[in-house]
Amino acid sequence: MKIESIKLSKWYGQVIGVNNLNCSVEPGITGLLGPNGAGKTTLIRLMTGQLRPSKGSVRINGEEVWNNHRLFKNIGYAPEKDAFWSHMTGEEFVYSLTRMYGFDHDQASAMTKKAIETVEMTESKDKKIAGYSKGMRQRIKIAQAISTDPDILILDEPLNGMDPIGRRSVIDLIRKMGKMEKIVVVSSHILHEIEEMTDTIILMSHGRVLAQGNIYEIRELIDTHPLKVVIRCSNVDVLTAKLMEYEDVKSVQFDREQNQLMVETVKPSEFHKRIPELALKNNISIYSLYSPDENLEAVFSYLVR
Amino acid sequence: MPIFNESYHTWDGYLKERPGTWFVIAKTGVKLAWTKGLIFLLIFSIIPFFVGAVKIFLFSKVQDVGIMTPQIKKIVEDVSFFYDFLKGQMFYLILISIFTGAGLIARDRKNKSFGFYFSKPVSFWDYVAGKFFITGAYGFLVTGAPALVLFIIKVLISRDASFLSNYYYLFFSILGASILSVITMSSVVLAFSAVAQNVRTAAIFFFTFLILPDILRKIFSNVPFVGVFSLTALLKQAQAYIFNVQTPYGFSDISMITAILLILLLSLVILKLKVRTTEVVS
Repeated sequence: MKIESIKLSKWYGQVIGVNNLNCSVEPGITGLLGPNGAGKTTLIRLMTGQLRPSKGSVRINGEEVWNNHRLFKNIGYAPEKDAFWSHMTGEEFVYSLTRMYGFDHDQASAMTKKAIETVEMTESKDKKIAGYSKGMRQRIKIAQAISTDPDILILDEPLNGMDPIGRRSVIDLIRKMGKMEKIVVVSSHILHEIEEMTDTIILMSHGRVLAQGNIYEIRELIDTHPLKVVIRCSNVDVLTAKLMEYEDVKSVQFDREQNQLMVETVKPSEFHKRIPELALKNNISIYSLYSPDENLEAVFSYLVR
Repeated sequence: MPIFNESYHTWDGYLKERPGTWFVIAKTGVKLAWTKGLIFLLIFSIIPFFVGAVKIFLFSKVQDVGIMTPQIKKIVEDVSFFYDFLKGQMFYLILISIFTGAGLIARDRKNKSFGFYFSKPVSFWDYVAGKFFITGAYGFLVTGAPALVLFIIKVLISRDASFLSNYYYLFFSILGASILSVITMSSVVLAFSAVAQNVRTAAIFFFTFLILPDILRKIFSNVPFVGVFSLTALLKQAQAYIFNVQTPYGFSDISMITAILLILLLSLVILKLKVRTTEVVS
């Protein structure tokens, strides 16, 4: 299964939502990242068939999504907005939306019950949505998205306004869906939320895809910003001297008091392979090694800002 | 950077089966509209029905004792009785339309809820038909339904089959006149609901649309054509036309038909423009 965007563009009058965008999403969790106005919601609406592309196409397993109602049956979608149908109870809300897929009363009731249980809303299902907290609204939205057990789950900012416990349970739920070989697309502009769920991202800005793939692989490809690596070891002087012999090492800063050095390298993979070898040859104990900018935030800031 | 031609659209998808989602929308809406306020309104609107039923009953008794006078006959004259009843129910139809219809699309627009519908196998027509059914069903409940029940009472209470054989067409006149009123009123209220972003604004727009032309019609009573701008006048004229009784206003039937068709068309255009998921990113 695969969602493909091929030369996809969408205009809102003079405003470009997404621009000549090519990307593909495969089973597992994919984080859709970008600052506000990047085109995330537009891309999601195109993927869920709510918008017709101005140019290009979005395809699921080779089939055009727009107006293809058969495909819609396999897509679960939770929009970003949470101010909806407050006069309904949570159960009525999930049930009525499940029925829209064409299921009869018994099937829809069973699916509703299961989905509400999954998001742990059973106790509150008979309360009006008007009385729900933001976190409860997010969960009930997710319940309607997963009620039909779709193969594709698209969640627009699903963790907005959730308390830490609620966030944890939703993250666990999303991870579970990802492990079930379903395509799960989660949009967010909160980077650590995505980082907790997946390493696979689509990074957008100004309607374009800036990068797609594994966060670490993307990081390696950013030549303009050498990767920073912090090493704590038993002999800072020797290790500094040895590292300076390599061309890919652009700078080394060291702190003798803390037995720590910070290296900037343009070839992170080779660098990481080299460290154990150097440590063994020179009898240096490595206490810790980490990269402060090999994370989503760094990738995001280097590519977007 | 490529320059795109905005007129070009890719479309090689295909429509698949629709699982009658309009009915799900309609059923949910009908259920949710069933509030204390609506029940009170429905009870209030049923008073003329009881008055009509009593009139029919008393009329049959007067016939039995043979003291029929032209004045009494005028009260329950067979055709105009039903026409007058439907004309009177127009007031309740307006109230019910506002009560059930003003918020139907306005709330979805305000809450940006279209995504919930259109990410499912729901088309524009499913959505509009579902919403339309909600206000239409309640509208029919205060117009066509009581009128048809009165007709049945009249048939049952008659001493012989002469009423049914002479006036059977009234059944279809009632049905036609009430359906036309309900369709037109529902379309207009949904169009205003689609334009507004909250219930109150939609109700005010709708009410103004009904009242203002009526005031103008009364001010310019010497210019009969002004009546075509009044929806209530148009519908009363159409009902008179369907019942084949004397039309109450001076404008022609062609003007009436054209104006109603234009109102329906305009409502549809507004719905088509407003019911969609796009939002302009500023």
